[in-house]
Order: sequence, then C-alpha cells, then structure tokens
Amino acid sequence: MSLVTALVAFLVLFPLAMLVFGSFWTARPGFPGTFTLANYVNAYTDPDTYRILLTTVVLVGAKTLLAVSFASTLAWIVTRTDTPFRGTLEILLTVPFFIPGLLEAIGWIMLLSPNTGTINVWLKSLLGLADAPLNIYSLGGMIWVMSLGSTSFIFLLLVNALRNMDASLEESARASGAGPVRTAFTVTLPLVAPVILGAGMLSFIRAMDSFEVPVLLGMPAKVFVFSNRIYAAIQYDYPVNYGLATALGVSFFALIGLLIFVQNRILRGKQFFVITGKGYQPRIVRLGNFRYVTLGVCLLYFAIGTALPLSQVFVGSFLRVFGLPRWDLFTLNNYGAILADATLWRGLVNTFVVCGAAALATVLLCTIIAYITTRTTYAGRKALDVISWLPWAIPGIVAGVGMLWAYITLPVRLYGTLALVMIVLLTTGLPLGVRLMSGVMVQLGMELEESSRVHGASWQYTFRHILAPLLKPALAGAFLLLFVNFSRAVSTTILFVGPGTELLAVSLFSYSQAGKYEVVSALAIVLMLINVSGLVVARRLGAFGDAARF
Amino acid sequence: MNMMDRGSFRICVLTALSMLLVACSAPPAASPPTTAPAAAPPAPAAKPPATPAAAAAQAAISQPTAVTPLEQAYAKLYPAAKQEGKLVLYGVGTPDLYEPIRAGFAARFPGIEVQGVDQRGRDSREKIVAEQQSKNYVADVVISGTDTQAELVSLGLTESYVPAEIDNAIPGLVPPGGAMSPRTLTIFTIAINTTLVPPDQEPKSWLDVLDPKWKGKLAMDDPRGSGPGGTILSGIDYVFGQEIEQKLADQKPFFATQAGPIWAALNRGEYAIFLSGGHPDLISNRKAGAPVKQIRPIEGIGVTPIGQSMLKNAPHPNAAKLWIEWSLSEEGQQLLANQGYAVVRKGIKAIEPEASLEGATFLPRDDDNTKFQLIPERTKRWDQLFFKAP
Repeated sequence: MSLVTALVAFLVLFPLAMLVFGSFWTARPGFPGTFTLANYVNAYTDPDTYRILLTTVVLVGAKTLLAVSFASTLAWIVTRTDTPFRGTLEILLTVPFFIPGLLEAIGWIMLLSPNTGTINVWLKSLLGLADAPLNIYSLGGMIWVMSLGSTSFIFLLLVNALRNMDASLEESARASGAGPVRTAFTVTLPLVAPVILGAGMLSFIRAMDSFEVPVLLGMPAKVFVFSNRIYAAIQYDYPVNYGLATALGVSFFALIGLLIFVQNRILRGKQFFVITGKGYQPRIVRLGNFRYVTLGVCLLYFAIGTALPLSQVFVGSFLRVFGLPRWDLFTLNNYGAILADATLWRGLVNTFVVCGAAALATVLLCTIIAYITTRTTYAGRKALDVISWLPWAIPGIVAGVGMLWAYITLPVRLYGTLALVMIVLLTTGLPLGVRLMSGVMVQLGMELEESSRVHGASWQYTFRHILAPLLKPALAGAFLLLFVNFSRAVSTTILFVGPGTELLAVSLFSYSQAGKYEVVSALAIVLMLINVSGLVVARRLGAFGDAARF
Repeated sequence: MNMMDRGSFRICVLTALSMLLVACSAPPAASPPTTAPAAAPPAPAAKPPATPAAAAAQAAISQPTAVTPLEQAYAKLYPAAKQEGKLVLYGVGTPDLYEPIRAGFAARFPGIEVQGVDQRGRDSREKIVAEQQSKNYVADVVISGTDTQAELVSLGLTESYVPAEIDNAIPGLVPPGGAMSPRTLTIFTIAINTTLVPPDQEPKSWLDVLDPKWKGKLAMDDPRGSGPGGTILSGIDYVFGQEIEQKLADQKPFFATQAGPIWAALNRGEYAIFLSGGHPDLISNRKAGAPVKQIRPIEGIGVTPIGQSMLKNAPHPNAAKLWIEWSLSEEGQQLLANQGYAVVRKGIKAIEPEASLEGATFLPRDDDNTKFQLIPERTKRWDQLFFKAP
C-alpha cells in the first residue's frame, strides 16, 4: 500500500511541484531568474479574478445541476424500467460523448446564432418575429450546450451503477404501494446518491477549466470564465508567464479541497451496500403504460439534445464549406482527405494502442487505490484519496507544461516516447478512475470478502475470484470512459506527441485550429461510428455484465 | 583532337580541383551577389582545339562549371544531409498545404526523410525549450510567426544561418543577424461576404467599416496579445489615431480567439465583414465555394512574416541548412506560392490574387521588440474597450 501511495504521489506531486516552483520564479524552471511573489500578487489583488471565479462557479454549477437531472432521469429509465428499446436508447444517449465538444458547440452555433441560426430563422418566420428569439451567445446558451455535453458523461457513469443494483428494495417499496416515481425518489435515489454525487462532482470540477465552449460562446456575451483568465496569462504576456497561470490555479486547490470535504461530510457514516452476499437478480421495475411516456422522454431528449447538433456535424461533413448547405457544395472529399492523410492513420493506430494501454493501466491502478481508500484502514488512505483528485485541480493548459518540466529533469530519457504519453494519460485519468471504482467499491458489501478471508483465502485469491467478477461491469465501464477521455485529450498530450507518436485528438485539433470544420466533422463522424460499434460489440460480449446484453 | 601535353593537363586538373575545393568550403554567409559566377576560369596552356566538340571537352577539363552561391551551398550540404538521412520540422501546417512542399523537397533531394509536425508556435516553443533543457534534441527547424522565433532567439536556443539567396527577399522582412530566415507572409485584411456586401458597398477605406449599417455585422480576431487582430488594430491606430478604437467598439464587433468560427460565420452570412481575415483561409474558403472576397483598403493591409530558424544542437544540421536554403530558392518559393502562400522572394508571381504582394501597401507595423513592449498596455486598453460588460 505504501508502494502504491508513493507511486501516485510521484505521478501527481512531482509535476505539481515544478509548477508551484515556477509560480515563484521569474523565469521558467531551469533558466536564470529570481524568487518572486509577483504572480500571486497579480492574481489575487485583481478584483477580476474573483468576479470571474464566481461567474465560473455559477455557470458550472448550473450546468452540472441540469446535466445531473437529465442524466439521472435517463439512466433510471434505461436501466431500471421496462421501457421499450432501452438497449438502443442507451447507445443513442451515449453518442454525444464521442463527439468533440468544440464541434457540438459549432453545431449549436449553426442552429442558434442570432442572424442565420437555422432554428432562429424558422422561428422568426413561423411566429412573425423581427428579432431572433434565441441567442446561443448568452449565459443561457453556454449552460445549455455545456449541460448537454456533460449529460452523456454522467449518464455513462450512472448506468453501470444503477444496472447492477439489487431490485428487491425497490420491489418491496412497490409492493407496499409506492408508485414508480415515488419509489425512484425515496428508494433508488438515496441508494445511488454516492455515485450521483461523485459523478456530479467530477463533472463540476472538470468543467471549471473547460475552455473551448465557454470561450467561444461567452466572449460575444461578455461572460468570462476562469479559462479566459488562464488563457490571458499565457497568451497575452510576452514572454509567456506560466507562473501567473499556476498562481491562479492555486484557487482551484482550495475549491477541490472544499468539495471533497463536503462530499465526505454528506456521506459520512452511511452504508450503501446493495451488492450483498444474498443471491440477487437485478430486476427491472414494470411501469405499465407509463413506459411509453418514458420512451417519449428519452426520444425527445435525444432529438433535441443530440440529433439536432449532430445533424449539423453530419451534414457539414459532406459540404465543401461547413455551415453552407447548398447542393452545389456537396462533396465526399472530406472523407477522402481523411483516408489520404497518413498522419491520421498513424494517429488512429497510436490512439488505440496508447489510449487502450493507458486506460487498462489506469483502471488497474485506480481499482487498487479505490480499494485502499474505501475498504482498508491504511493510515495514508485519506491522503491517497486527496492526491488522486489533484490532477484535475490543475488547469489543463498548465498541467501539460508541469509534466513536461518534470519529466525532462529525469535521467531516464522519456521525452518523445509513447511511454511518456501513457504516463501523462494515466496521471490525468486518476481522478476519474478512482472516483469510478470508489463509487462501486462502496456498494459492495463487506461480508463476501470477509467470508472468503475467514475460509483462509489470501487477499489476492479473494480479489481474483470474488471481487473481480463482481467488479467486471464497473471495470469495463471505467475502461471505456477512460479510453474515450484519453482519446480526446489534447491540452495535456499536445506537448508530448511528435513524429511517430501522433495522436488523433491532436491532429483533429490542428484541423480545427485551421478552421477546417468540414474535415473535422468527417473525422468526428468516422470516430463516432468506430467508438459506438466498439461499445455495441463490448456490450454483446457481456463486458458490462449480463444485464447489459440485449 | 589535339592532345595537351601531359604537364599542362596535370596543371589544369589540379587547378580545377582546387577551385572546386575552394568553392565547396566557402562559408555561405560570405556569398557574393547571386548572379556572379564563383570562380574565374584559369587560362589553359593548351593549343586551340580543332572542333567544337573538342572545344567543349577541353573547356570541361580546363574550366570548372560556373556555380551560383546557392548551388555551392547545395553541393556542400546535400551529401552531408543525405548521410544524416532525416529532417524534423516543427510548425508545417495542415497536410494539404504541407505535403506538396515536402514532396517537392524530397524530389529535389532524395534520400532525406522529412518529418513535419503540424503545431502552433507556442506548442513548438514549449517542446523546443524542453528538448534543449533535457538535451533530448528532436527538432531541427521551427517554422512559426515572429513571436515564437523572437522568444527562442532570446532564450539562446537557435542557431544563426543566413541562406545564400537572402538578398532576394523583400527588404524589411529580414531580421538582422540571421537568427530567423523569412519564408512566407500571411496577409490579413478585410474579407467580406459578397451576398451581404454588394459591389457598390464594398469598403474602400478602413474608415468605411465604421458606417452604422455595419453595426453588429463586423467580426475580428481577439486583438489582445499578439496575433492578426492586434496587427490590424495597431496598424489602423497608427494611421487614424487611437480615437478610432472607440468608434470600432461602438460597432459591437464579434470576437473569437480562433479564426475558424469566424470564417464559418462569415461564409454563412452571420457577419458581413471580417476585419482580420487571413489570406490562406480566404483562398481556401473561396475555392471551396463560399461567397467571400478579399478587400484591400487604400491605407494598407496587415502582414505577419512566418519565418524559420535552425535550432541549436539540431540532430541533422546539414539537412536543416539545406531546407532553409531550398525554402528561399526560386524553386522552393514557387512551390510555396503554388500552395497559395504569399512568399518573401522578389519576383515570384502569386498563383492566387489574394496572395499577391505586387503593389501592395502595408499598414504601419511595429518591429518585434517595440511590439512586445507595447503589448501589455494595448492589451489592457483593448480589454477595457471591447471586453468589459457594460
């Protein structure tokens, strides 16, 4: 256990230390300079910093609440009821997770921009309005787009947890006369509270430093978020000042600490054992005719939340000019360009190999960490839990730089290798992985493990033959989530890829920087199809547990 | 054929060889003007030949071929570069633009594998700093805007190299000391949506965009920091005075940190006028069928030089130098022009009119040092003016 703690501490605290050092130094670490407090003075004597932090908290809080509401409802419908076509629905509701956030935002801009947004134009003519009723460039627009982006992520987190719950608790509530909705709120909801809370927290924290969407939609609305501030520190200063960006990032740490503290207080002392030693079958709740209402809810969400923006991306991938749907601009060249780009193919192979291996390593390490923090009395478990959060407490733009500075000081030559890319990914995946596995670990009753140990089985045997099979769906779910997250990572990995170590997300980013949304759309569609097919195959093979087969 | 006597023959061969040796070892920086031949032919002691063929043969033996400094550089660098076998470039741009350039170089100099990485200047900068600090040298040449170049130079991470044909570059674009070699320019100027801006309403002066009819219809890159937005805004500041900034702010322009979303919006007609449209994107959108057109106001256009530097301790220094030489040569520059780049070499005709520098007027431009000093003050002012909520 100390070995694991030492490893995690190294992965997380070493780059963090470099960044913190840099925030007190007038030059980059390793270059001549002097000690300075100027970055902290700049960061925290500027009233703008606090105003922006508040705006960010409000924005991210609102979008998280909305996303958690959507995701919980949808996850419950899809996993705990007899809603028809729920297997297909589950796949459909996962689709947005595979589309880059920037592209979704661009899709919504095509729909809701004030002058030429498709929906606005249609509403104006339908209702005879002079001005567009909806404007994507507003706080509301930002909350809308960001919440949709988070919903599928939280949905994925929740489905696994909900699917493998013991249904007898809900059934006894129903048998006692409670309706399905009441049962959901009074029985199901409290039981999955730790998972929902954990998912909500993850989504909140990740979104605190989200950049592309809020900056794109917020700038015209003059709504500025934390990322604007960090970006300004890096982009508008010459020479570049990562020290200021890190000094600003310190306020993140305070926030994370607060959130962890709050979560621990809320969940303290409560047991959530629903996977117990008693034989159980995850059974679903029968809704009667209400199940058509739930089907309608899912379809409505899919139509508005996913199909609409995706349609812009899909159509855009067949156009020579993105956003200009004219028959004379129809083309297959965007797909052709993807096929012809050797770098992209190399990137695809690299992504699958590297992100797959990194996701596997991360899942294994995080399972061990989660076990230590939730099921042992190891003295350092609280510290381990906190350290595993920290990679997300560092703004993405500076996290990559911190890791770069850290690893180039080592005598081992890691720079330029895929191994370093894996290490970087693993580090950034710790918060998600540990949360995922902890959320499941707290659901496992202790008696299964205890009876195994009482009968003389070693810890390894118990883990392999008792815990691992129970955890299999969660492990598969965690692997998938981490894999997709890794394959989308840009701001941290961009500094570690080079000739021969290309990654798809970075190539996609280059294309979008160049404004070639047509090609980016085509690439996104191809990737989405690959990922969704992979998901379907994995489910059929039972990766997510028998209850997930359809 | 008349035979030269053996002694004279030996003298001629020796003289020719020594001329060649001298030509090959001459430093490129000391190269004379391009058109002058490098070596004066020695006077042969042979009797005049009887036939033209004999004359040619005798000339070949007795006189070395006249070589330009560029060819000398090629002759010196190519064998060594071929031995190195590889070249790593940072900042090459998207594959559709880069691939023909790479292919052109590979065809001209077979045996050198060129690996290009498409990334922004600031990512190149971070990687190069890390590589140099850890002595893990990967990149040979970095291609980027002048900010990245200037910062790397100030950190002492580049190696000066002046290509043979430097005097063919447009004056004023060549920074002193050879730290950066100019390669291309990006032109930034007004781009209009022709559906929304009919020919009789096209702006002729920068002042025309202040017409109230364009309120809410203008778009621009975020001018803070360095970048095309700042280049345009500071340029028109110099021409009209800073009062113009408030008038522009009153037009409520749309800002973005990337040009991509602005182009998507302009193509579609969300906005009518893009003030800092880069010419490569404009050409690419126009050719794809978007209703866009470049406008060059009378007061001038903005330009940003994109140059390249060789890095210190480059793993393939000869290949790097060969690339820099070739980039500025007529062949290299023509190939770039064919891709739609605006090139720095005099006399190369642009393929697309939007890339042409013929007869162009430039907006006033700060040199790098001045610009970097003015950035903080300008950023603060523009922040207040354009980005503060009312």
